[in-house]
Amino acid sequence: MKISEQWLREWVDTSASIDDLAQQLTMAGLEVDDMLDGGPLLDGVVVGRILECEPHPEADRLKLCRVDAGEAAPLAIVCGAPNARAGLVVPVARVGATLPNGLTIEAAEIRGQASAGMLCSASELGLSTDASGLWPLSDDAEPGTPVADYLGLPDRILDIDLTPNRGDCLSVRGVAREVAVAEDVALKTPDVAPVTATIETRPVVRIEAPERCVAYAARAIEDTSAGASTPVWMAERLRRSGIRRISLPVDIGNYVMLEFGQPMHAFDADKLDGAIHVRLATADERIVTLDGEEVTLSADTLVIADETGPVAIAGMIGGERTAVDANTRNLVFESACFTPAAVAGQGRRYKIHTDSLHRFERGVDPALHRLALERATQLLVTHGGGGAGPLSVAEGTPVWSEQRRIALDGAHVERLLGQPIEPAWIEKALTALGIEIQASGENRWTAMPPSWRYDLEIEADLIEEVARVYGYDRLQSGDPGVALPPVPADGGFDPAGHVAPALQARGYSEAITYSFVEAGLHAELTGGEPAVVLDNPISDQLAEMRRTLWASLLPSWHHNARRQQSSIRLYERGLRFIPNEQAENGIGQYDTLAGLASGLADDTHWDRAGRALDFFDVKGDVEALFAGTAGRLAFEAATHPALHPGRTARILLDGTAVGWMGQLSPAFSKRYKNIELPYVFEVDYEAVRKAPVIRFEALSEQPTVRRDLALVVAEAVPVAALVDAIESVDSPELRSIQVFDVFRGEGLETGFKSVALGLIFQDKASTLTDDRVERIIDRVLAVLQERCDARIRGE
Amino acid sequence: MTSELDRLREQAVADIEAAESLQALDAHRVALLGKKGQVTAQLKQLGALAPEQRREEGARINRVKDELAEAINARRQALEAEALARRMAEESVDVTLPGRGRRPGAAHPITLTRQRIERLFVHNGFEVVQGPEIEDDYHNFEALNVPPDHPARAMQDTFYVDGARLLLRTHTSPVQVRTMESRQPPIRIIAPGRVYRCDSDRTHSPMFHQVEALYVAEHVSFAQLRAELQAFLEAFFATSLKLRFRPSYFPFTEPSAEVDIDGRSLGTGSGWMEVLGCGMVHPNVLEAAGIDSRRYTGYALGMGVERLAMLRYGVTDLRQFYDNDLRFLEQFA
Repeated sequence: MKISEQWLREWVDTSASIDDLAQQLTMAGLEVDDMLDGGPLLDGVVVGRILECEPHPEADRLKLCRVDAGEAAPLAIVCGAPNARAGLVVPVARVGATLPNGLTIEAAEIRGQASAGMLCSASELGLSTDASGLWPLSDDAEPGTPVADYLGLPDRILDIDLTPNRGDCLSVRGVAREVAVAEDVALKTPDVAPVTATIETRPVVRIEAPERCVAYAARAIEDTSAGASTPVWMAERLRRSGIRRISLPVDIGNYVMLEFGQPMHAFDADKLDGAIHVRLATADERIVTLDGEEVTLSADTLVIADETGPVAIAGMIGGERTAVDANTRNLVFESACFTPAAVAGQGRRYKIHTDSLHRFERGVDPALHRLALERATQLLVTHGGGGAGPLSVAEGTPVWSEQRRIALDGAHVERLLGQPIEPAWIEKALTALGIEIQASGENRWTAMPPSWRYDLEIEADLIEEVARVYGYDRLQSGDPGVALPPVPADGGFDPAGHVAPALQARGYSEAITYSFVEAGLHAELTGGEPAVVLDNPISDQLAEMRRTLWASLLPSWHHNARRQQSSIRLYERGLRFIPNEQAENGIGQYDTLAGLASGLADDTHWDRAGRALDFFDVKGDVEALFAGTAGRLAFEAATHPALHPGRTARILLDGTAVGWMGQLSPAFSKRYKNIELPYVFEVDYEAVRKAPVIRFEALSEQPTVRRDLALVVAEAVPVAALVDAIESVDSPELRSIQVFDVFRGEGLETGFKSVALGLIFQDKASTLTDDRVERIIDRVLAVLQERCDARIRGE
Repeated sequence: MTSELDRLREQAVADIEAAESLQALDAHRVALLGKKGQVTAQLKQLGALAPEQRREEGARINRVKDELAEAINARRQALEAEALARRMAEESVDVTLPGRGRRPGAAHPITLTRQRIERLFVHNGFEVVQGPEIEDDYHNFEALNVPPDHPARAMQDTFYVDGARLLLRTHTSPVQVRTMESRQPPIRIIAPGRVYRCDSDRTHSPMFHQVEALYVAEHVSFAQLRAELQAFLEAFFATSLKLRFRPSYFPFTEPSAEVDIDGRSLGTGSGWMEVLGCGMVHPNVLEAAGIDSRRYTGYALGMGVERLAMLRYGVTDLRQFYDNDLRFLEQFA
């Protein structure tokens, strides 16, 4: 909401500076976002009256004007404007003046005729986009008066960012009321005398949806001139509030809306067919709006209709059929109060937003329609001529079913604010806001909010009003209150989040990527599994909620890869979204940790060549996530639509699948050309968090014994199968198994490999004898032979 | 004989001094003091002398012997010291060359900021609570006193899902509702997390982060909210701050306020900087969650993590947080 300082000061008499007023409004909850200049200062531009206007002897399009610019002798000025004529009062830029567009006026000779200045259009003064001709000022403007004085410049514009609860402040009157309270002065309401009826025409109004229309006032004005020009002062105020000029009746409607907050509409009476009905649309009824758009109405939309059909969508926009135009002589002004419920959602439905709708959505003062209609009538009759008929007012259901009364208890004020406020002070503050109060006991009242305050419903609303007028900054700070006992952390091993630091230590940086991803990449990564889709994505590229974090991490990886990053390691923690009938609202939302890595295993160093990272580097990173849990981590070969079939592992924790890792499938080379594809992993973070905490095991002082086995097995036998087989012997003395070599080639049959394992034995109580170790080894070899067809190399 | 010993001694001392290696020195030691050495041979010849002369001559030879042994020892130590010095010189490294290994990665600045906020609130007895990001209209709006078609909905451009059956939460406030639905006061929680608004430009990201705090108990007041916020913000920025509480409007709080920091407190200029919104929980919100609003009051506050991160680290372009450019991220390691 933009409002002119000058206009505001007409409503409140205060000596406070504009900066102080802005500060007070902001601290009253009407945040002043910005302060703008009301217009250029226009030094050297004065009011001038064209005395004579003759054709230029040498040029068809130019005219020679003699202009009274308040000086002793008239100025000779050559002018090319089509509307230049004797008697017109216009802005004159004198020699030496610099216009807002940078043009400096010089004495000149134009086609042999001296010209001592320039007659200006509103556009040349930077006050309008209208460059069609000279700007006609009012006939009574005094020649020689600086145009800035005539227009009331300089002026400042307050740009106020109003919250949706304060629809009552969407007018000069509303903002002035707040200033009057802050400044503790009276509001100066302009005198709006009722306009006496001089004609008998009286529109017939029928409210057929009384729950949605509190009141509908209409008035006929006949023999007026809709084509008359809007007075300069009104046009200027509209401009300063950011409202475009349309025509005199429309401008007057907008002016009254800005002044009082009452949206208005004007119909061409000669185009109206019979009575005005305020009713619901019938299904599929149509209206062509003022914008020329045809709208098909739905049955719960409130319309204004004549006997032919809808002439306006109530409170939103008028129809083209009954629009006022330059030839309109007879019109009907509408000043109505539609309820917020009547217009709620309609703007979104028809994708139409107007200043009128904005106000009705927030609530228009139901006691305002008569006053506003008198004001508009007065302005139209004054500036457009003609005569007005009597007011025609129909009433629907009142906004508030009974006199709304709110009980207020001073003790509750103290409880909520944390400090007592003097009862006398409360009374003064509420009264200043127009709230009627009656004492109902000691430090207790019954309060009735004024008609314009839709937002005051409950006691807390009144307490806020008290606090607002008292001043938030004057309120005390209290004791922050008693802290509750600490909450027990949840049971798993990572409630403190030490997984992330482990990844950082291994070179991974944390990414935060959008949860919505590109559908094409998403489908490739998930094998086309169904995804949760946004109705209104910011772009078609970001329409699906990710089922895997890879879908948003890969674009970040690619961003870096294209910027010559030789090694990239990223991780992210966030939710995955998977349609799931069992989950709340049908969507499972799973806390997930994912990462990816590409490039070198270690940073390049001056004394050794960098080694490209491989599966086992990243597997080590995944293992590090679970370091510190007692859970048993395992990897098994598996296939996944996103991953290289020979380099994919399902991650198991205590036998339960908790994630995937592997290299991105070569199928993605098409998408990521000439870049080595990354290794990726993704694990269910809940599983990480809840993994069992390690149980301490007593240390043994006994010496360890190591036995190495070089086994030959078929290529297809995974090393994990050998380890499982050995562990199945279940020897308490076997402490650990190390894989220290895998060999293929010379000396081995094709299709076989040699795996070297180191078995570490230790007894908790006594030194192991060779004999005991040998007996265990015998059992181990038997199991290996039986399960894996493994034999000792060389035997 | 005496002059022969002198010559021997003189030559031996010269040889020892001239020995360039431990092996050469040892050869001299054997040649002089070994069983068949020249000095040993001198001692063997003593038997041919008269007893008187033998004692005198023996003492002389032993003095030379001790002197030579000492010279050899001194020379050995010198040679060993030289050898050690040579070895250390060979082993020395240029300590200014770069170290080896993998540089550590970094936590994201949003995470660092969120954790800092969490730590401060947890210290003050708040519990960290999470909630879903795809929400229903009830938890995101209706239970927060925002009925359908309320103008306040226009304050938050919403992403809808599944024909508007669901939505992406526009704020972390639904976590308040879910918490209050599941337990009775006293409730003292914070809810950090991702939120979404259908808006994308230089100063708006379609996804960003909020931290919400809620305290509901008997006699919770606006004065306590002010104190908590002052303490929190001063701890977060590690400096004393001038704050301004400005009346505002949120459908779910009454009274409502926005909190501005005087830029001079942070050395960022003279303007007021909006950092968060807060207020006393609206009775309709308490009642909708099944909490007796006559018995309990509460405050709620919500802040944008990005805003605080930008102030803390001097990041000026919001979009950099989501580019995940390593050149950006690694600055926070």
